[in-house]
Amino acid sequence: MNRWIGVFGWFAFAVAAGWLVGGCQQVRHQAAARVDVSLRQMQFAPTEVRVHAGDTVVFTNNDIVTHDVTEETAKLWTSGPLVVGESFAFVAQKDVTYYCSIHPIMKGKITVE
Amino acid sequence: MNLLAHPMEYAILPKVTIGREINVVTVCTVDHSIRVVTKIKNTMKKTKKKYGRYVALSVALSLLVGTIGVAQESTKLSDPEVAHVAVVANQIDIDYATIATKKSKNADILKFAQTMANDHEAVIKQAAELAKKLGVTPKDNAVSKQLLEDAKKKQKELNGYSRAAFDQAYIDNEVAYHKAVIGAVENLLIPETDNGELKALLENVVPALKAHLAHAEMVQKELTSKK
Repeated sequence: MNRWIGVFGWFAFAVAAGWLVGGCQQVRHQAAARVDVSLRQMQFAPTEVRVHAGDTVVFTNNDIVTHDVTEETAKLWTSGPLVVGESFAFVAQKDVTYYCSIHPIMKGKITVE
Repeated sequence: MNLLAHPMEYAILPKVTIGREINVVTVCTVDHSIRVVTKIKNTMKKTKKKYGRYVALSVALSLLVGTIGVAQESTKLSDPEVAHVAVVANQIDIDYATIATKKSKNADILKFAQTMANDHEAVIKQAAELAKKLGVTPKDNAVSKQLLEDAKKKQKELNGYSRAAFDQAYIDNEVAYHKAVIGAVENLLIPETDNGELKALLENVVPALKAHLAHAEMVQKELTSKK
């Protein structure tokens, strides 16, 4: 009897765990995600990120000099100067290309899927 | 085999040996640039190789600011001396930027000069912090003295240009200077450095120097296309 209770207990535990994990994953898909982009060695890393609309892209300056993040085509927005260690968060709604206006060879892209 | 395209070029440091017969040779050219060629080598001996490395250091660094002189010193730089050369090389470009901010009215030149001043000041600050942490004082030496002396000549030259001619002269010098500094840092200063943290700082500076070079070339192209 005790053996059957044990087996049933483990079965119930596995079902509950599966439900919890599945549920969490479902929530994670629905909630806005955070994607990190590091500014280091005069590059945006990664250079291109793919996100969902509403996701937040967080740019952090891990380099040795000040940078910024500026929308490239029409200069619609900019982070302003980011000193070493400083971050800037941007909520992506559509595709955008950006660059560092201080070091114009640094370029990156956000693609909204 | 003659590796030099011009009699004023100096072949320096047969430094990297690939296999038994092929050496990578760095050549400083008359226009400050440093090119790397490979040479099939049969006769060069190890002793020659070692000697050439030290002569190369002073030759290449003297070329940084345009002086093509015969190397007189053949002493290896200590870490405090490498740190001092790095600080001086950064300060020289800040001084060039200061001249540009006084003489130029071109928005691209002014923006570039401001970036040079800010970035090189940031590097100097980090070098100073590292020196303090390591408890070393950057040490004046023959190479840094030569750099400063030659920079004074270049500053005088830049100050002598008319406003119309200055922008081109400044950006041409920035392109040449950054090419030479990148070559010197990568091929000479980093290999000469013993301390791991100082070496890491120099390695971290290289991408910034390369970005400055690309930026300078971009501005140079813009200026040329407007003529």
